[in-house]
Amino acid sequence: MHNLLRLIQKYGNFLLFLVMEVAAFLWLFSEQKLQQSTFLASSNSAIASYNLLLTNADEYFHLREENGALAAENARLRERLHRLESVVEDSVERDSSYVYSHLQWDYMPARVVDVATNSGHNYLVLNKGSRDGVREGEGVLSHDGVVGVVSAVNRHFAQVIPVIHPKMRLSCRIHRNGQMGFLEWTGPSSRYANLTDIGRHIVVEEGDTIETNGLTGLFPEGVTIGVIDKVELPEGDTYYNLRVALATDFKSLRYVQIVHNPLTAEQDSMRVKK
Amino acid sequence: MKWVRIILFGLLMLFVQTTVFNNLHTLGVCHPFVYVLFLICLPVMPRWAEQLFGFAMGVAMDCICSSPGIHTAACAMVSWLKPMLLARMVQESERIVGPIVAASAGVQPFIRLSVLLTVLHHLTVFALDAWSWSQWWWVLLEVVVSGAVTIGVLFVYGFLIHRS
Repeated sequence: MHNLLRLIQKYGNFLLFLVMEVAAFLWLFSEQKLQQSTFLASSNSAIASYNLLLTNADEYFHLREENGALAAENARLRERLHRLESVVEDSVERDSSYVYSHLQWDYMPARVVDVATNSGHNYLVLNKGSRDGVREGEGVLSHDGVVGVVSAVNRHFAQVIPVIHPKMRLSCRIHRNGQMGFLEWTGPSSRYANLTDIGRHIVVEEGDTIETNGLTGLFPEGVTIGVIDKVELPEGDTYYNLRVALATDFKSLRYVQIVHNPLTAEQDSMRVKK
Repeated sequence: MKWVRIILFGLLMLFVQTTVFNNLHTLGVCHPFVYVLFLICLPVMPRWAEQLFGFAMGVAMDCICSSPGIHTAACAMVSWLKPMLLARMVQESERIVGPIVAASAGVQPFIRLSVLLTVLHHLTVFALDAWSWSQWWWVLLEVVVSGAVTIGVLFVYGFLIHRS
């Protein structure tokens, strides 16, 4: 006992340092296993309120940009409305299932209250939660393109794992020729990701648009993900190395839309049966 | 009163960091953590108290920034190393005991101490954040760019304190 006390007296500061480091690394390791812990910490009422306060203050400095973006989105929505109206008119004589496939998606606007885009733990926190009807596994879009997938939900907030996350692998296609591939992110820049599984026999060009293929049931078909920015075909390799410039600018992201597909469960159940 | 001033200074640094410097994303590599100024400028006090202040600052940053233990690990390390480095760099007689003591230790020791602790802090934060050495060049770039901005802010602060 006496020796223990002497030890603490002599190396007390170092032991305290060790305890603190162990606590910090346990926190870090728990995050490696489960993304939820940080989310829970960041969404507890005091921290969430502080983050909300910071977001509110930040918004005043970006009103002009937001106005521009909202005006552009209005224009796009108006155009989309016209297109859907014409689809509905056409379908009276044709097939109603075509209309349903286009109108099955519900969109819920949400605000980004917290974001990390420069690390291996990228995430977003939105100000909509289970109280508003948000569920895990729902897709998230910005007015520019795909953002990510809801990974955790509590009463007032939702956590989103963006496409710029090492664990994210999004099924997609090249708009021009319909070739399917996977979008993956290995970092470090939040502006670029990689398109994989595109074989060398396929013609790929810089500037080709990458979009969702609608197979996952998370996103509507044909939503822009980005544009092929760099094409490399290493000698003797079967697949291309394709760099994609992402349409969504995660660093300036403020408003998003959570996409709800009421048919996801039905679609998934068929996938299991298969 | 001394403790109240320290806590208020810590809260001020936390506020400045989260409102201003957390929103700087210049070129994607510039993420200065100027709150390290709080740890560098803590007055002479029992080491355990200094370590606890560092730990508290790290936990607060991690909770606000949703970074799991990264700032806590870096702050715990800086607040443990600082008294040892200060003792090596500055003679006992040269140390001036005041509210923000490291800054009044003299210009040269303050610069050396600030640079060393800032680089160590930023290196720890960015390396843990990347969680992989496959992007070591990016981590180093972040340390250099962000560290330079942080040190610039520290020097401006140190200069103002020195003049006053």
